[in-house]
Amino acid sequence: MTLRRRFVLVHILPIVLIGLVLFAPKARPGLRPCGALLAAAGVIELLFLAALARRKRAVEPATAPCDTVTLVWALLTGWELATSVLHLAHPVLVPAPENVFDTFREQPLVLLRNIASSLELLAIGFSIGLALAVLLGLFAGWIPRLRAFAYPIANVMAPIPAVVISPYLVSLMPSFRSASALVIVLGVFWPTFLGTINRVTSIEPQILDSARMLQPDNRTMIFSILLPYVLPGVISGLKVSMTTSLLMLNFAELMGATSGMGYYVQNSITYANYAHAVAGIIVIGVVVTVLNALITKFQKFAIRWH
Amino acid sequence: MNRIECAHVTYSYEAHSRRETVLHDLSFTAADGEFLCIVGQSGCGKTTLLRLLAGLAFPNGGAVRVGGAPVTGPGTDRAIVFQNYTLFPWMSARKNVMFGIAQARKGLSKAETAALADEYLEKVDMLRAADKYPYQLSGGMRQRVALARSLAMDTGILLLDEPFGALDARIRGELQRLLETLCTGEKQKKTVIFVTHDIHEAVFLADRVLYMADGRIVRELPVDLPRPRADLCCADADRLCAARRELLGWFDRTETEVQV
Repeated sequence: MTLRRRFVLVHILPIVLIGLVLFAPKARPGLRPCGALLAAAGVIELLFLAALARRKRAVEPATAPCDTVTLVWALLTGWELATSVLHLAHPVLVPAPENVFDTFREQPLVLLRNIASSLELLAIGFSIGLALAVLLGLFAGWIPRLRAFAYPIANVMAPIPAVVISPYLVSLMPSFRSASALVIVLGVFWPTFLGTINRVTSIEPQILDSARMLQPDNRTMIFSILLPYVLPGVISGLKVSMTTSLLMLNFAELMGATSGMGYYVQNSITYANYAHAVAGIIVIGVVVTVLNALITKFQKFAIRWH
Repeated sequence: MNRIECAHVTYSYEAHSRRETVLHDLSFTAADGEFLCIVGQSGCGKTTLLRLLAGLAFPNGGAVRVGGAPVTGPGTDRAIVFQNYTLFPWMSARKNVMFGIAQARKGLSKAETAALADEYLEKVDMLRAADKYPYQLSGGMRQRVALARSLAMDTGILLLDEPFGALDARIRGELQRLLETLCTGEKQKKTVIFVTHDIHEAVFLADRVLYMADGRIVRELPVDLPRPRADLCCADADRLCAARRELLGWFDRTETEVQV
């Protein structure tokens, strides 16, 4: 199939969707203005065009972005049909897309504030957990006595999901924010700590011998040899740990928080404002995607030597 | 000063609750400034012997002495080059050499270290690739940089564990000539222990070849030929060939012994 033909086919569904949104008679009461939904459709189209432009022409055919965007359009059209046009779905539990996307127009500042609150906690917990885990992991990996002591403990602690202890931590810690940060620290620390120890102990023997021949002191050994050696492993684990931390954070925010994305969703559900809840869920997805893209960029920069 | 001495060295290790003896009562001496090649078939204990000299492992019996003092661990009086991974992949060629210099020759300023690194990279014809990371270099180029780092450390002793083993014949020949030039001149004479299973390489480089089998040094062959050996006159080239044939004969004989 030629690119042009595919391009035309891909745009049938969004045209149907826009036609439905603008001109179909609406059966559902309480429908909000459709401007935000149309703007969202525009953003989706732009992202699709950007993906088309960025692909390497010879290597990748245009199928992947086309398939993805078609699925998105199909979901949106089905959603629009089921709610606003045909009024099939439950009027309160399944909000119309107009109402969901109108949330972004209605309270952008509220959403931004909640995002900022979550990201701040994430940044604090994540950086503390990561830095501690790598630093202690390097020492524990390098010094046999420390390893013999720490390794069994880490093996017991690492598999305990931090999410499970988070309700207890929320009760234990003086404030909700400190509890959430601690949940993230714990969630990031143990797997990274264990991973760092494992990577140090499985270092390429010739690299280790080569380093030992240069008689480095412990500090040089740990910071000039072992740290760069474990870094690629740590950074490739970053995506998983970032996603799980966000998950733990949102989970923690479901109880007792007064801000944050998890709180926003939970609060909206409490007041049966399901349009806001769905909007909040979409925001969480977008934030995770953006964070992952940033990590990929950082990964390429930090391990240029790989 | 840079004399290496092994006296009745025994080395064994425990594997699956069985004692594996790698070196049996092994003795030899390398004189100051001597280029010694150790040859033998795979598994004869060559690499283990080199690790003992490096101080990366310790003998169960006997003594390893460098410059008269027993070896107690790795030291910056000895430099080592392995077949792979001598360089640190996260440092550029120049940084690798600079790291070696900084460890072996304390008290140099950063600028002096960098200048010295460039000087040695120039010697191995790698200055043009000084800012490249090892993964961007070919196997031969990597070994050139590894050699530059070891030489820049200005040690009296150079230990090489099949450094050219993974290279193709042409590059290997180039690097052998380079090594000969850099390690055997009057001004820069080093004690070199070169482990290889390539007979041609051993005869080409060595002042003396030691033949190892079953954890012992069973024979030795002095190679008393002028340098550089790339352009020997006819008579000397014949002697080189004769030496190679003799060495080859040892290899063949051990093989038949093993078969019997």
